[in-house]
Amino acid sequence: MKQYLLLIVVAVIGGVTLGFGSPVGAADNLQIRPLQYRETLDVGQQKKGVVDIANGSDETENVTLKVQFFKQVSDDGTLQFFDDPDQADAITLDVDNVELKAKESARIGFTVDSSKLPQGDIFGVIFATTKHEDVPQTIVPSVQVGTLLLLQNGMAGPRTAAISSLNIGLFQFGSQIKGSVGVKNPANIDQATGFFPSMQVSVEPWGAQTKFEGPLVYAGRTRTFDFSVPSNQFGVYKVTVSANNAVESRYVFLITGIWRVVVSGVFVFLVLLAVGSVVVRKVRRGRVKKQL
Amino acid sequence: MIVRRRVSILFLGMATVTSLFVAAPVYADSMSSTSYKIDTSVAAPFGGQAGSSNYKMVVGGGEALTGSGASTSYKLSHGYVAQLQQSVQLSLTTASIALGTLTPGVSKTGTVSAQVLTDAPSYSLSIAQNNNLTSGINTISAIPSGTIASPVAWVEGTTKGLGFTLTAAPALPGKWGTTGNYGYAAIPSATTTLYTRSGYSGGVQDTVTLQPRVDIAASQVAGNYTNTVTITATTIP
Repeated sequence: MKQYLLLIVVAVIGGVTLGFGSPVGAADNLQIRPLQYRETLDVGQQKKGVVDIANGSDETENVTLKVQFFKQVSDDGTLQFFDDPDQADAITLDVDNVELKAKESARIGFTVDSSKLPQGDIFGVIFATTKHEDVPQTIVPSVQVGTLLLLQNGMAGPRTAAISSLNIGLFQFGSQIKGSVGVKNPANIDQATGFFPSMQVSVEPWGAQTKFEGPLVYAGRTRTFDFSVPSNQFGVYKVTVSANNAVESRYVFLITGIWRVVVSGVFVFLVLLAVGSVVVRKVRRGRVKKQL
Repeated sequence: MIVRRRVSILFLGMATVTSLFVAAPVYADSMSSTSYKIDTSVAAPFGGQAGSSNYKMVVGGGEALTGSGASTSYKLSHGYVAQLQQSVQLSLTTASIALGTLTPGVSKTGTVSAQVLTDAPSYSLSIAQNNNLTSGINTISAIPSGTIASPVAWVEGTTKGLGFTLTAAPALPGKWGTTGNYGYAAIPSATTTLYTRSGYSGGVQDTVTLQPRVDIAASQVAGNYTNTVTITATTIP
């Protein structure tokens, strides 16, 4: 009991302090490029790449570099980073730390050795992190920026896609056909596979085909994203959306592009014509009554 | 005369109704989207050699190219530019977070803002701490409840430990609460996403403000506690 009281006294009198230490220096500012690499490697092949790191702060920074791996852990694309000892020596950096003076940058090379990676899809990341010594009485914030490595080693993983949802407004009035589509990767969620679905939106009949690439869809995940296709059409059309091998269609009524003006003009003309004919009819009836 | 006008009106009406159901020629343009825009300079940065505006790995041959002897790494001493293409820049507004002297039962807060500038179509911010606040062998634990997935309200005098909340961000998720009623989460030891932004920011720097908050039990041993909190920024593929 005495010890407990003593602890309280020490805590209250002595205090627990955070933040009274001397300033650590200027706030961190780190930049990295590119945002991502997407590459295909043949089995046994080695490839080299570079990342550029820039220190935007006004102080010298010690920057450490490391390689980790990632997976997509939710349908909004959130990534989870982790170490993988089995693949640790497959992606190697030329240096694992660099000192950058204020406004200084460095180009860091790295090598990917496909023979040390499993075949299929590889999701790695190169992180650059500002490094600080622990400073008593302070929470020390540091910054970390990363370049993603989206690699296909030899044979690609499964590329089967499923369209889980397709929402296109039944009536489209504007300059574009707008909608949203959900693309699912039906592979087992435990598999380290993923792909960027090849998307295609086609409008029939007489429609154009628009191709684009969807976001990364990891095994077991569904990514939902908007699309909009510029359009200049009038009437009922069939809009077909495909993602890899999956196809889904909707019928929509389009008044888009120049047809907005045409239809609006015709509508106004018809209204004026109808009003005019009613007015003329009333005037004539009035004349007939007067004559009677 | 009246009969002729009726015929004209009938003809116009039929023509209009007919045209409503007859498909017209298509004049489609390129693809764009509010949340996923195709920009070849960003989405496909692999069309050229390193050093150009695009990036591509080069075949390394059959020999190991790593190590200082064959290193291609070098410093670009005056190569810094305000904003590189296909990059992400993360800066913090403070070099240390001051929470002051703690009194049991009276929580203290600090502030640090993470500023993100990128031409990525979307990005995420993550957070991790190297360890609990530590002074020698003593530690101040993270708050026992409240995660990034599900932050909880801070109960003054009851909630003990270190937590954090987001107080400002473009489109701040509602789970973080509002002024006077923020939700708090423990800072995880593994890098965990705390904020994502979809869609191009249009060259505008985003500011995400974090508020660490700490309170201690009466039995907390006095000391100078410290830890390192790392904020991470990457693109979202």
